[in-house]
Amino acid sequence: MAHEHGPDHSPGHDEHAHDDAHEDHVVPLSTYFWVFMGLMVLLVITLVAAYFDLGALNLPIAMAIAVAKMMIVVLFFMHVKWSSGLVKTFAGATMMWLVIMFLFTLTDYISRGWTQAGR
Amino acid sequence: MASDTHAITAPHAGHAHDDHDERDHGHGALQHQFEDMAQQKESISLAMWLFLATEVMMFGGLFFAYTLYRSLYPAAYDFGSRHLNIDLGTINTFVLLASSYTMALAVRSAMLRSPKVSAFFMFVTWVFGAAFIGIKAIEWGHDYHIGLIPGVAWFWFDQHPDAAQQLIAKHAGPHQVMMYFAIYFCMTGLHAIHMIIGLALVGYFIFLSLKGQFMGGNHQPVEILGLYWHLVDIIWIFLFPLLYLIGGFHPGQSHDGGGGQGGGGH
Repeated sequence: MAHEHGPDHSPGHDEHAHDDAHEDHVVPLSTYFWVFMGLMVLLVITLVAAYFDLGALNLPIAMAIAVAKMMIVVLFFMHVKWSSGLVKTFAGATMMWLVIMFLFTLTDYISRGWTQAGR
Repeated sequence: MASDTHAITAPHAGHAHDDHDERDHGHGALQHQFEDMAQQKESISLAMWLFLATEVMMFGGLFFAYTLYRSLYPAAYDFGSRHLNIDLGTINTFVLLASSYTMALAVRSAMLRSPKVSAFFMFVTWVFGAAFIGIKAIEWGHDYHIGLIPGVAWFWFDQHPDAAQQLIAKHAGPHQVMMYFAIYFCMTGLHAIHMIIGLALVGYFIFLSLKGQFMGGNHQPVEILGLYWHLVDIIWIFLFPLLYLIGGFHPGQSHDGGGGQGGGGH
C-alpha cells in the first residue's frame, strides 16, 4: 500500500465546516478487516441459528442477524457512519418507506375478512 | 447548503475548468450549478442514495410478495426451501461478503490516489462476483434437471406423487410450491441481473482506473459504484436466510432432494 491514511478526525465531526467536508474520510485497513471478520462471524451465527429449531423464533432471529449484517455493511462499507446528516437521513428514509409499504399493505391483507363487509 | 444569499455570485472564471489538478482542492471539476466541491460531492452522493432507495422499493415489492405467500402457505415454503442447496448458498454468501470487502478496499485505494491498487481490488471484486453468478448457474441448472422451474421445467411432482400427497395433507400442494419457486426465481433472478450489471460496471471501471480517469481526487465515481455493489450484497444478505434456511440447516444432509428423490416430508 502506498501511504497510510491521512486525515483521521473523529467520526461525527465531519460536518462542522465546509473545509472538513472536502476531505474524504479514509478508513484504516484494520477497520475494514475487522468489519469483514464481523460479517464472517455473523454468517456462521446465521447457520448455527438455523441448525437449532427454535419454532416461532426462527424467523425473527434470522432477520435480526441479517439486519445486523446490513447495518455493518451500511455503516462501514457504505461509509454512512462518516457521512453527513443528510446522507444518513436518506439512508434512514429508505428503510422508512420500506416499513410503510410492508405495514400498510400487510394491514390490508391481515384485516381482510374481519368484518362482514370484507366477505 | 447554508448560504443561499451567495447563490447569484458569479463563479470565478475558469474555475470550472480546473480539471484534474493534483492539489487537495481539485476533486474533479466543479460544475457550474454548485457552489463548491463539498456541495457537489454531497449532491452526487444523495442522488445515488435516492437511486438505491428506488432499488430497495423494487426489491421490497418482491420481499412483500414473499412475506404474504409465506404467511399463507408455510408448509410449501418449508418444502421448497429444502430443495435448495444450502452449501452453495452459504458459499455464495461468503463470496458476496468478500466481494464487498474488496470493493471497500478498492474505494479506499482510490481515495488514497492509488488507481492501480484500486483497479487490482476491483478485479478481485469482479472475480468474486463472477464466481457468484457461476455458482448460481450451477444451482439453476440443477433445478432445471430435477424439474423445479415453474413454466420451464416443472415435473418434479410428476415423479414424486407421494410428496404431493404429503403436502396436500399440510394444506399446501404442488401449486403452492410452484409459487415458492416462482418467487425464488424472480428474486434471485432480479438479483443476478443486478450482479451482471455490476460486473459490467466494475469491469469498465477497472479499465477507466488503469487509464487514469480517477486521478487527482476525482475518485467519487468509484465510491458511487461501491455503494451500488454493497446494496446488491445487502439484498443477498436477506435472500439467503429467507430462501435457503426456512427448513433449518442440517450439516451433512443433502438439501437438494438427493438429486430427485426423498426430501418429501420432514
